[in-house]
Amino acid sequence: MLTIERISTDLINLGGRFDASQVDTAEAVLNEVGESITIDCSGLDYISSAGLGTLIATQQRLAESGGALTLSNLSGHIRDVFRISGLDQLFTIK
Amino acid sequence: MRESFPKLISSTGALHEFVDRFAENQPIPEEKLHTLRLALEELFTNMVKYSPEGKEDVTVELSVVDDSLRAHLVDYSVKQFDPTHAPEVDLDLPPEEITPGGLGIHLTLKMIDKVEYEHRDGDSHTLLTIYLGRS
Repeated sequence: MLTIERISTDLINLGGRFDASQVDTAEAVLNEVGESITIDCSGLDYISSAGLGTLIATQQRLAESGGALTLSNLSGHIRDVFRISGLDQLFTIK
Repeated sequence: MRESFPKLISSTGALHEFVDRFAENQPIPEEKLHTLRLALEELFTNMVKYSPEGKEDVTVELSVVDDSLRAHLVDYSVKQFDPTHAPEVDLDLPPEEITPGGLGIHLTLKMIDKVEYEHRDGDSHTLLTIYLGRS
């Protein structure tokens, strides 16, 4: 189960499991984002390539207008997934 | 422990719950379970997307044998698709050209200790082995 909540104009909280069945839930929130924003991943337990794909698409859309996604508070496992995917070069991770 | 899953993307939630139940009575480190979940989902969703000719449920069997965590996935009545021979993902693309295509198999092959594949009697068998490093 994924939880995703827009806390403010520049902050989203992401938690639970971001698997392939949760893409629509995430897109409903992320597609409303129009400028740079931070996603707090401190509650995120898991992400698959389907979840990565959703974040990639959001990052690329924001980049067209000079914006960016920042990902914060990734667990060690999830940081590994980004590193092995080479996506630690696409996103700002802090 | 063995269970069957309809070939639907929406089955991934049930797949993760299956791993939860398997792990309840197994002293398996969380990072190993995370790797298992990821590989199962990536292989399963590939079967859903790229082997639609097989209409039967996919079976997944999980076990711990000696010092290894093993997963055996069977996709029935499908063409051969050997994930161990999937094309390499280009990790050096410019940001605007990056796509998630192929990332799932890339992650699986990089994170799982041993991935074996066999196409037998028309069925695809994929066997994953994760060494637990307890001995």
